[in-house]
Amino acid sequence: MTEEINERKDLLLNTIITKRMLKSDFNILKYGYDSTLALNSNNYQNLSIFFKAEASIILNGKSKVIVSDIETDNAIMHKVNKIIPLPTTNNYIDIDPDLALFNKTTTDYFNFWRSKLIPKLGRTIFTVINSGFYSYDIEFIDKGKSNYENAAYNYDFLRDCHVSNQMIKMENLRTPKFTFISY
Amino acid sequence: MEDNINIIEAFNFNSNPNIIFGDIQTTDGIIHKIDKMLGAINIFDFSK
Repeated sequence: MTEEINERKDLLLNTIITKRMLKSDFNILKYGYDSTLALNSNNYQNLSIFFKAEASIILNGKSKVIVSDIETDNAIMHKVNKIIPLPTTNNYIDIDPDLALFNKTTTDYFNFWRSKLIPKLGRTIFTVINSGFYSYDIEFIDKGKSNYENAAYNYDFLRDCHVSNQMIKMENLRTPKFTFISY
Repeated sequence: MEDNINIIEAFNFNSNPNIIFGDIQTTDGIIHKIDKMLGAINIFDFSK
């Protein structure tokens, strides 16, 4: 019961972006992330929200803004057609256009060990953007091969992108004696 | 590997990727977007 209440609370807080964003702001940025008031229950950090502005603004890949820029005393309100889902790592890897190749080579192939982690500890994923797959002379993606074959070929690289059971923040990475406790 | 006489030369891909956007918080973890593949792999060239 407590979990259900917390989830509902998070869903409500997940609708509030921590800064003033008009439709024109979304349109200028085209796509990107911002923070909401919802918290990750394990590390108490504000959850991110992904927006993509094309014909309409889509939030976390599911909710479409149907009426925008409603001015109120203390905020800008946008009406959406669906509840904005709480984000997961897989969800963002699926919908972020910068991660299309990373998604292609990790989806399915890595699901079996992604699911083995300890939920409370979470994970950290260093996701390579599309251009990163072409930063060397060697080809990481062979268009003639299936996603599964490409994932198998790049297994070591892609495995090293995933840190299981540890949520590493930027401030951790900047700490001189910071160590990875697992991978 | 044709024989054991060949010198094994490792090309270490020291990529030093930059985090171009970090601290993307989700319910199950954190994502950092990086601009290059991580360089933790060695390629061994037996051809020389």
